[in-house]
Amino acid sequence: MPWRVYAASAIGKQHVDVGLPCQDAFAFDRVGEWLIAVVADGAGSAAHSERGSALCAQSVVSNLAGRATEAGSGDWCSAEVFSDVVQTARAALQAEADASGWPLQDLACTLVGAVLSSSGGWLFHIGDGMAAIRTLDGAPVVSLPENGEFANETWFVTGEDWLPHLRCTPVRTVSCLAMMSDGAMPFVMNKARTDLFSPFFDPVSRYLLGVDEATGNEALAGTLDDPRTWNITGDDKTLLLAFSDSEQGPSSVADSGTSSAN
Amino acid sequence: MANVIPDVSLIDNSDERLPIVLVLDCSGSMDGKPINQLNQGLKDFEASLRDDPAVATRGRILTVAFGGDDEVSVSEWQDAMDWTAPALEANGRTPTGAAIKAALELIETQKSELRAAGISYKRPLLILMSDGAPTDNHWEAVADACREAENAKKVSVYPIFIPTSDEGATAIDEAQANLGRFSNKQALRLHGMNFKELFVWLSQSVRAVSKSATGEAVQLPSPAGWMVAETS
Repeated sequence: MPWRVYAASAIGKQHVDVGLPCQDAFAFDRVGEWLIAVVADGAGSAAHSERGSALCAQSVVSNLAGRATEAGSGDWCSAEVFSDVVQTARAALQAEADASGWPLQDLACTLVGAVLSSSGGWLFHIGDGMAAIRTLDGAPVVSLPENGEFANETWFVTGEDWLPHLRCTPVRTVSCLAMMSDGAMPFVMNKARTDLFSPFFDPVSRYLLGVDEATGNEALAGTLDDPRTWNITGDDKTLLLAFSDSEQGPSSVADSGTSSAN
Repeated sequence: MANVIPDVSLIDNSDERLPIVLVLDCSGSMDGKPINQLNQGLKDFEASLRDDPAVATRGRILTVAFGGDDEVSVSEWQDAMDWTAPALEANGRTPTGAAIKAALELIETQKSELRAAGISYKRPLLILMSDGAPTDNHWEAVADACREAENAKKVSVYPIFIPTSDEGATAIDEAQANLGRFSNKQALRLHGMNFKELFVWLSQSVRAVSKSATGEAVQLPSPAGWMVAETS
């Protein structure tokens, strides 16, 4: 298996205090040489966004995994794919909203995703949260959050104007991928948001590469829920880390994984 | 202790601010219990801001006090962790228009300063507390400008009416309605002198300003703990 993947979500302190669920979700799958991974962050202002983020992440990952499986080793992934994939996810969200008698906006969530093989691929992104890639041959590549004038306002998959806010970034080589919701950004990214913050990332990657995925996921969840993070953010925190085989140690476990609110 | 990865640094690399302006009526009718309770509420607010590190490092606070001989007294912008509650005294008239005009200008100045420093910010909150009708000449034009600023998503405005008068229900309703003209939402009415609950709500709101779609109204927690429920 060419990718090792570790991921966890931790509910925000503010969400605990006011009785909100964790509105972050992630999903990933591995198909042949491909890694497909998504982090979605439900809007705090939307009534059922924990359903929205979970459904969106699952829809996008299963859609892309299906395409990867069908294509085999062929060249299947381009920027055009992502608008189709988001359109399909929006339809799934609309169906869920209709079935529950909710407006679509009640399922509002952001989306940051990656489709990668060791020789490159794409990041795709609507709204905030972030993806950062360490490459084998050069500077890190990041997909930055997109906010309006105000830091707490962003664009959602459910918004009518989603298409002009779908941003796709090509990537050539990958040694490591980090994707996160905005709650995790302050301590995972450096101040300039140009790279992962080494005092956080180096000990984390060193530890994770020495353990299996189940153990790593548990430790990552504990770290994201460390009380020190409560002083940094009241928001939910999700982090998904994937290492390509160039960095691998012991072998990995299951092909895919998901998490949703709990 | 839960399973935590060893030697991990967990520090805040983000720079993000929430500007909050408190526009406070210090006219003569606020004298006595109302101003004392307001001062106590401000002190509680100061303590609750410092209690929460996520707020202490992100809130930016400005107070605009108005009263006297149509005077408006403006503080400096301060980080929440450094902010000390003012000790307000009440006398004179109610120049609400001039106070709001100053507040709107200072918000825009603060935003440009933050932008110039490369610091991101949330949509500012303007909290107006007053017990009576504005007495300055141009307050209606300022109220229109304030509603426009809110419509243009420059600021979220929360007028809060403090019922100090014994002039009767009609006069009180009218004063509350006038205060409501500074926002596209109605003014809320403080229940009795529940400033304590009001400031608890405000500090919860500062914590809770949560992510929303660009241009969408900002959602704050329910003010049910301190407001008079709508009767009509």
